[in-house]
Amino acid sequence: MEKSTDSTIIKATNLTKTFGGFKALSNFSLSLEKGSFFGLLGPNGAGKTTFVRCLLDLTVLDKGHILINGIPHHKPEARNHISYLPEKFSFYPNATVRETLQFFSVFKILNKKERTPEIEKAMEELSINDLARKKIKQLSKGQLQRVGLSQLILGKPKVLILDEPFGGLDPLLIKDLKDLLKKLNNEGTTIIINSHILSEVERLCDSLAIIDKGKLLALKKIQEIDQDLEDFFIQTINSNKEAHL
Amino acid sequence: MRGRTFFLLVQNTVQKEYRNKTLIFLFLFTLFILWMDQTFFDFIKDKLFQGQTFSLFNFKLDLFYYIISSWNFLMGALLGVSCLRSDVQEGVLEEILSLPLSRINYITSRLVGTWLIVMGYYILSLLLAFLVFGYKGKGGFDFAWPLFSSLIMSSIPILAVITLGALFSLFFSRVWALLITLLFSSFVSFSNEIFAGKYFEGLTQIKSLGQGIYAFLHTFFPHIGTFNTLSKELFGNHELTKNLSLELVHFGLTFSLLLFILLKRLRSMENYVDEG
Ligand SMILES: Nc1ncnc2c1ncn2[C@@H]1O[C@H](COP(=O)(O)OP(=O)(O)OP(=O)(O)O)[C@@H](O)[C@H]1O
Ligand SMILES: [Mg+2]
Repeated sequence: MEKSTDSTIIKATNLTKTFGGFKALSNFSLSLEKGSFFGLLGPNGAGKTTFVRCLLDLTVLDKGHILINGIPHHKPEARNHISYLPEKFSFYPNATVRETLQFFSVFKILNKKERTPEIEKAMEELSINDLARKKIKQLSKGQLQRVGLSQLILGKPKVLILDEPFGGLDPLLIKDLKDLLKKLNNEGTTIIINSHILSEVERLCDSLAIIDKGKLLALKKIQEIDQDLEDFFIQTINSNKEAHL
Repeated sequence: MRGRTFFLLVQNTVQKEYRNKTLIFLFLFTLFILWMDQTFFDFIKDKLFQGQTFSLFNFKLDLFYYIISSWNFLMGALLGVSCLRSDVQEGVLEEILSLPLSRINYITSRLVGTWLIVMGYYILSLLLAFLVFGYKGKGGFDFAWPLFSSLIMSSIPILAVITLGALFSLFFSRVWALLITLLFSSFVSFSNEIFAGKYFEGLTQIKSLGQGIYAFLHTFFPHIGTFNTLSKELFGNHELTKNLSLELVHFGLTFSLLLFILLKRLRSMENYVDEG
C-alpha cells in the first residue's frame, strides 16, 4: 500500500461496490489534499452518492479501503472531523430548529460551554435566527436546507461533504451557500461537493473528478482544463461510452 | 466521548416519544384504567357488602397491576418497533450514523431509552395507583412493597421484548413487526413454561418438530416467560421457583446474541430510507 503523506486528508484505494450484480463503484481510487475544494461530477446514477456514503461508512464496501486523516474509515473516530449534508436533509418533524442544532452540537462540539454560542453563530451565518423556535415540519425546503447547512458547519469540521447542495434552491440561497463555502475553504476547510450543476462547480472548485458507471474517468485541477467545462464533461463521458462499444 | 453521546441518544429517545405525544396518550390511558378499577370495586362493595367496613386496597391494586403489566408488555413491543424504525422513516438514521458514533452505541442507547420510558411509565402508574387506592384519610396510606421488587424483575423481559421489536422492525413493516413481536414473545414465553428450569440441555430432549421449535426458542432467546413468572412470584410474596442467577446468566448470553443480530442487520442495510 502506498503511504499517504501528511497533506493527504482522504485516500480511497480500489473501491468496489456492487448492488446485486450492478457495479456502482468499480476500482475507484482517489486521494485528496488538505484544504482542497473538490467537485465530483457525473451524470445521474454515476455513483457519486455511493462514493460519499462509502467514505462515511454508511455503505459497506465490497473491496478497497479508505483512510481519513490516516484513520481507517470504518472506525467512528474517522468521522470526528467530517460533516455531511445528505441530498435531502431531514430531522424529527416535531423538533424545533434549535433542538435540531443542539442535537448535532453534542457530537460536533466537545466543549459544553461552547455549544450555545456556536449554535447562535451558525444560525446567524445562515440567517435563520428567526426560525429557532419553529418546528422542522413547518419549514420550507430552502429553510430546511439552511438548517442542514448550519448543522453542517457546527464545530468547525475539517472536512465538509455536500451531496447535490444546489438542487432546488433559489438564487439567493445559492449565493449565500457559495460565499459560505468559499469563506470556509479559505480558512482551510476541505470541501467535497457532488454535483451535476457544472457552472456552480466550475466557479468554486479547485479540482474535480468525473465519474460515470462507477469509474473514475478524469481527475484534474481546474486550471488544467483549457476548454469549456461542459464540453470537457460531455467529451469525457462519451469517450468512455465509445470505449465500451 | 462515548458516555456523552450515549446519554444524549438516550435522552433523545425519550424526547422523540414525548414530542409525539405518545406519553400523554399513555397517561390518559392509565387514568382511565385507574378510574374503571376504582369504580368496579366500589360498585361491588356497595351492592354486595353494604355497610361493612373493610379495605379493597389489595384487590384494586392487584387488578391494576395485572392490567398494567400486560399493557406494558404491549407497550414494550410498540415502542420497541418504533425506536429504530422511526429514525429510518424520518430519514434521520443516515445523519445519525454519519456522526462519530458506533452502530452498537446507537442501538443500545435507543433500546435503553425506550426501556426507561416503559419503566418510568410503569412506576408512575403504580405510584398513582397507591395515591388513589391507598388513601385511608388523615394522611395515612396503604403501601405494598413487594410490588417494587416485582417491578424490577419484570423490567428484564420488557427489555427483551423491546429488543425483539426493534429487530423485527428492520425486516418488516411496522404493523407486521408489531404482530410478529407479540406472537414471537408469546411463543418464547410458552416454550419457557414447557422447558422450565432447563438451560442449554433443552436441545437434547427433542422428540418432535414442535418440541424442537420450542426447545430452540427456549435455548436461544431470553426467557421472557420465566422472568414474568418470577415477577408474579415476587408480587405474591411467594418463594422463587427458579434459579435467579442462572436465569440472569442465560439472559446475558441470549440478549447479547440478539444485539449481535440487530447490529449485523443494521450493518447490512444499504438504504436507511423507508421504502414504504
Ligand atoms: N441501495 C441501493 N440498491 C441498489 N442499487 C443502488 C442502491 N444505491 C445506489 N444504487 C445504484 O447505484 C448507482 C449509483 O447510484 P448513486 O446514487 O451513487 O448515483 P449518483 O451519482 O449519486 O446519481 P444522482 O446524480 O442521480 O444522485 C445507481 O445506478 C443506483 O441505482
Ligand atoms: Mg446522488
